[in-house]
Amino acid sequence: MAITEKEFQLMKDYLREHSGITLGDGKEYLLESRLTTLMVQNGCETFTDLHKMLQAGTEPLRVKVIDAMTTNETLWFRDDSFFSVFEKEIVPRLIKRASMGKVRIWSAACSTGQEPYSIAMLIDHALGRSPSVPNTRFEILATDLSPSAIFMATSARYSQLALSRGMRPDFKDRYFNENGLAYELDQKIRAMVTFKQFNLMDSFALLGKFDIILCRNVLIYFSDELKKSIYGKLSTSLLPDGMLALGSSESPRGITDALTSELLAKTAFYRPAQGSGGHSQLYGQRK
Amino acid sequence: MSLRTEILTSLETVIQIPTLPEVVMRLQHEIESDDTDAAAIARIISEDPTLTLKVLKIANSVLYHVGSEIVDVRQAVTRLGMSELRNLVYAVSVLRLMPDLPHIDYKRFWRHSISVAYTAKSMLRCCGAESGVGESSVSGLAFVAGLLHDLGILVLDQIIPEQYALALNMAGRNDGDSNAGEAGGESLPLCAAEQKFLGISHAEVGGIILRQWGMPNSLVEAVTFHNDPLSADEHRTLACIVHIANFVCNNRGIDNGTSVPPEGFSDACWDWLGLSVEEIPAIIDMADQDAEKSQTLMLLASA
Ligand SMILES: C[S@@+](CC[C@H](N)C(=O)[O-])C[C@H]1O[C@@H](n2cnc3c(N)ncnc32)[C@H](O)[C@@H]1O
Ligand SMILES: [Fe+2]
Repeated sequence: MAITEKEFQLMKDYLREHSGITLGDGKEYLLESRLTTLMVQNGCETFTDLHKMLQAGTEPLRVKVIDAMTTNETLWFRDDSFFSVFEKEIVPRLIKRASMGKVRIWSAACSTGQEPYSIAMLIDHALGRSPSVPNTRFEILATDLSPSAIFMATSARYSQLALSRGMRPDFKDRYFNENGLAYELDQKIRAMVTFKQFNLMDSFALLGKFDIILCRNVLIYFSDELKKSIYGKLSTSLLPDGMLALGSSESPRGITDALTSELLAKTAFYRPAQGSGGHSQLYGQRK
Repeated sequence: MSLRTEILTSLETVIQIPTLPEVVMRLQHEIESDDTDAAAIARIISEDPTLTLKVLKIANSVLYHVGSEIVDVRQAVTRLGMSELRNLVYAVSVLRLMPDLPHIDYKRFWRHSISVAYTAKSMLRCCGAESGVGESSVSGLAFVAGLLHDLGILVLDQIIPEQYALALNMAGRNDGDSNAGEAGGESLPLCAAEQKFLGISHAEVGGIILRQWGMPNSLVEAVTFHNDPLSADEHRTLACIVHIANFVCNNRGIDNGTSVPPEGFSDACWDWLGLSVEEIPAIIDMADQDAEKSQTLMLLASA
């Protein structure tokens, strides 16, 4: 359903006020793609109708709109350039570390599992070439707020449509089995990832420290204030030589000084800034 | 006249709408009445000899580990319990609802519905107490609600097959060989597609039929809101159970063939039931076992 400029403003204001979701310019498509089903179900012909209905104040509709805006789309190997750097630069470093001990990776808003499984497949694939390191050395924690997303991720069954979005043909052949209408991910890859429900607004203290954290395409919905607090917590959850990856349109610049950026083949990664405070663990100590 | 009005009118007039045998309705009313007893229940079921035979056969099968043989309906009531026996009677009876429909593969349809019924019932023990799952209007009807949740699909395909085909195509109906539905990425969830083409969804139609049959309110609401449980009011819990059970069965590959399987369920609904993500692997196992049970039940009931 198409949205007009005026309607976009209305919806944008509504969402900011009621959910803390801030939509930037050019995000019209987000509203269109996520709310159409709900609108049809509720007999709304236009976004103006939807907005009126929301203003009239039915609680279930509000919850459903916010659900629809935050339960989210994801892809395999989202952002080619990022995953290509990840495969070429990061994975070899991680494998080197894994030869000495455990490597911990956190996908902090894993949605239906594409992100952590993409990483697990890349690691497994690379390990095929260094058979001395078992893939059990890698601990991938994947968390999300949404139980529905975690269910899908845990079941590791994807429709043809979901699989077509970003999956590499060689990985599809190698790691998926057709099962009825779904494609089921290989048990070996599934075993590398642990799923938990976790809200990024909560304390990170119990999660431990990580070599790599991916927190991609989730903070876009948060206010700067919340972003600042979450960037701070992410920074403290990194091992001293750990790195954080954000979505390709995201940057902590101007929001926090707890992170410093480092370019790897033109892709930005972030490290805890020295002396930014809150970095109290013993250097080099690993869980 | 809008298509919606037309559909609503024919729901009241058309006689070839699939209907449950009278014995099921009477049984339902008997169970709800306060002063029922095993003898009364047994009497009602025994009036239908074919039904009685099947029920006894299934009661003695691997599906129920009853030990020594159950020889008559009276014993079945006491050994299985009223509620379980009622579930069995319903399941056997719906399997007789197999009209020749243009777009629905009824075996696939009922295998899905029976699985949802079993899963809805199994899920009760994973739900938190605050959700009210312990109340008899929920626990007693979880199976039946799951069993009948998609009834409206049969009705719509029967009364307006041509227009219904449009909605089904928009929902990416898969007849086994198509890839991800004809509409591909454009597909809408079935209820939304129905709303768009017909002005009414199978969920609403199913609810209307059940109300006409005089079924309990909680059942009517659960069916009406199975895709949109937050809109259910008094009986939200039962609607939420059916919603999640339906999703789980689809996820396990037990779908009814009418649409591309949903990519998720309502999180608010999961929270409402007090379910925890730690239980996901257990729920998946349960649903896989329930899918096998439904397969067995269908075999036994059709033999
Ligand atoms: C657009 S997806 C991003 C998925 C993946 N990281 C990617 O880049 O493709 C955003 C995810 O963030 C989750 N999310 C939203 N708010 C959250 C919060 N407060 N805590 C944790 N996860 C949250 C949503 O449930 C959704 O699955
Ligand atoms: Fe349905």
